[in-house]
Amino acid sequence: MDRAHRSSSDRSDNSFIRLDQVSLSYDQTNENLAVKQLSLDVSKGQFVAVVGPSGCGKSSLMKLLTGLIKPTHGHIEYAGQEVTGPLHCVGMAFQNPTLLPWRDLLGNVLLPFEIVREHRHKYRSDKSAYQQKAYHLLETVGLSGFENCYPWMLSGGMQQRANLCRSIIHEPDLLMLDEPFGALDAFTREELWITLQDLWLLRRFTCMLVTHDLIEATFLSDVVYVMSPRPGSIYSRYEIDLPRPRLIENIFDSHFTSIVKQIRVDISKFKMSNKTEVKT
Amino acid sequence: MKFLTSKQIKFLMPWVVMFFILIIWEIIVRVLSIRLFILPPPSLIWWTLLDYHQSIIEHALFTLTNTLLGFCLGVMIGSLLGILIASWQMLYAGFYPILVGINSIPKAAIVPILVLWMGIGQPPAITTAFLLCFFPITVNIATGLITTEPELEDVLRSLGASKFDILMKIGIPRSLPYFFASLKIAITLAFVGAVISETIASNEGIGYLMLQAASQFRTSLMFAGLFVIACMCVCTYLLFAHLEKHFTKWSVRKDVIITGG
Repeated sequence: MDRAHRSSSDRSDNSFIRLDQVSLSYDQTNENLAVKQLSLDVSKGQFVAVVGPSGCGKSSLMKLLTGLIKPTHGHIEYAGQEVTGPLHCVGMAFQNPTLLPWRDLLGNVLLPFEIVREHRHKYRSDKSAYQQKAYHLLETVGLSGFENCYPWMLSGGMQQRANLCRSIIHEPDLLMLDEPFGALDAFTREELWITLQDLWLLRRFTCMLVTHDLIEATFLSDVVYVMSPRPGSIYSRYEIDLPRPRLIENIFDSHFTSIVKQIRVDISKFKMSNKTEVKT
Repeated sequence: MKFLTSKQIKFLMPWVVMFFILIIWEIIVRVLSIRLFILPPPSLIWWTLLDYHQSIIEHALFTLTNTLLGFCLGVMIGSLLGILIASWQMLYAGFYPILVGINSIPKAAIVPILVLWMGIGQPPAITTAFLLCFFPITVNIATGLITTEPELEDVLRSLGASKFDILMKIGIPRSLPYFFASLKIAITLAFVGAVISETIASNEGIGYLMLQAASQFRTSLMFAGLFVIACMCVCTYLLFAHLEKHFTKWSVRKDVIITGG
């Protein structure tokens, strides 16, 4: 496990996503930064998790990366090109499933094909082929038989599965997950970790997972980044060298827990420093 | 013993209530021997309705036409305005106070100006109906569009969706329940607008009929006019309530859980 403050000089050439000294302030001043001099590399097909105390700018990081907001300072590169506007073919899923209540699951999962440029015309002429894809994907996450159900008919876990399907059906090069399992109970969450890992092993998309849950981060990812409190920057980086496919039982292994503990120590340092700040 | 299901009773309730009100009305008028030009009994209103049905139907159709034309204008312009002010914050900031201002003007005060511009009869009636009914439609459409979850918008934008895509895929379907709710309000307001204008400046329509009847103290005819307006209003309202139910089934969630866990 290497702990390093990465600088812009420390760049690998095969990086798929690169953030270089990125700062962001929402009021366009240099004070009150949400993200400060953040640098980060993700290579293609990597599964990266970002953890950190609440309010450290994790969600801002996601929006920066996908081009939904522009950085105040610094550069963001995606597939070798500077990000200037919203990327065109990214999958996204949030804590809230945000399914469209007027569509059944099949319609919800097919939504990206109606939007993404390279699919939208083909989709109109060849609906059944795309529907087959959707049926197949829903089946892999255990939702076959529910294709024609409306979201409100399903439990939170099932809605979140459908949401995952919607975010990867169009085979995006990049998948962004913002605490996708945060609102679920522990058992459902573990089930979905397995589902997500299976999907990732199958398709090897580049994935960035933002989460509060250190076990989740360690279980799913190749690299865990720890962010410092606001203004957010990368505090430390952990390579998770556990073999895949990982099993739920593995989270009780000593190696696994030692990694989680180490990350935990980093985060509790922030809490300590916060408290001393208040005292002085 | 039960002869009717609760659903059937629910359906009959309005008729029962109306029947009782009419009976009480009839009794009060007869017992207190109120003079006919002050308050005619329902029976007399009914006979008047039958006696004058030919001209009442003519006037009612005139009013109905004006109302529906004004309403259609209101739906088209109202929705468009709603979409515009919801899509651009600057337009919202600029237009909203003005719309509220326009809406707060008593429409009866505008009719004379409309008459000055358009003459009497149909044009001012249609315009008044339109002016009264577009506002709730605009506000409701804008509300539906503005309250879209920002996360859902992010999902679509990162798929490369344009503003138009987002409007078509999320905005419009999402604001449909708001839209239909506003239609029910708007159609009743459109009737009010048309009748106001006819009362002030027209030679046709229920409003004109009532004004004529009033000048001749034919109170029962006035009540017959009121009855006809109320009937048309309820019928169109029910039509839109039915359409709402049909098009926005998804927004009315039932307590049916297919599965748990």
